Amino acid sequence: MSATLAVSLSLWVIAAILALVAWRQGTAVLSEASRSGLLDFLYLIPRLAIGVIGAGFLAALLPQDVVRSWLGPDSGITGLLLATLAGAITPGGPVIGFAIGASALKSGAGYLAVMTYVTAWALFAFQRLIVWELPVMPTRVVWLRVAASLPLPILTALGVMLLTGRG
Amino acid sequence: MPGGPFTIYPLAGALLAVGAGVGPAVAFVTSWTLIGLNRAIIWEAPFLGVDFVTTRMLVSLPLPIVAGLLAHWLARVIPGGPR
Repeated sequence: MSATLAVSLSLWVIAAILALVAWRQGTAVLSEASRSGLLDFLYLIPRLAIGVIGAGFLAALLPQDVVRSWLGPDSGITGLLLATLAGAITPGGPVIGFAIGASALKSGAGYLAVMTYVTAWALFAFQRLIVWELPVMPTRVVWLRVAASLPLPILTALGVMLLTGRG
Repeated sequence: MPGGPFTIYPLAGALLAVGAGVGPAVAFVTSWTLIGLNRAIIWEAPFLGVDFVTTRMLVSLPLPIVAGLLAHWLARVIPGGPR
């Protein structure tokens, strides 16, 4: 059994166990939980569809030779730094960030570069910093966090290299 | 910890306000950004695959601590604010 299938199956098992627990607390709890879960699901479907379909187009449109030479498996540390920068300036929510990562992977970017990109996007996405973080956190702490996180995308790439043996 | 940026950053801000240090606050935020399960299951896995997500998460496990320690150290070295 593949790891993917195992993880998917265990997620379904967890959901089933949670449903059972909710049902034991009363049918009202179960029906309320199913209703809110279903609504969330319906809310997410169009977003996921846009992301996945858009990623398909993006992958077809990105010039493969350019992506491969800048971010491909042989792009080395330059590719990783470029991926870090790209992650920081990618606007938008998770749909955009992950869709771009998936398209880049399909159009020839290296596994490590995409790992670096996703990590950098999660840590530094500029828009999230401005819209969400700066208004509610002390400015000094935000910049300290950004400074302390600077090495993390490259550390991630190193870790993945050690763990999987991919170069 | 479930929730989006609209819950995590205010929570971290509140922790800081009641006396948490910069290091722990940074570790908390970093942990959410890098190994938050919610986003990984809903967004990352459909796009990049379970294998990608589990590898990235495994590798990211120690990173919040690294960021927290670094931020703690930076907060001591750089003058002009709370630790």
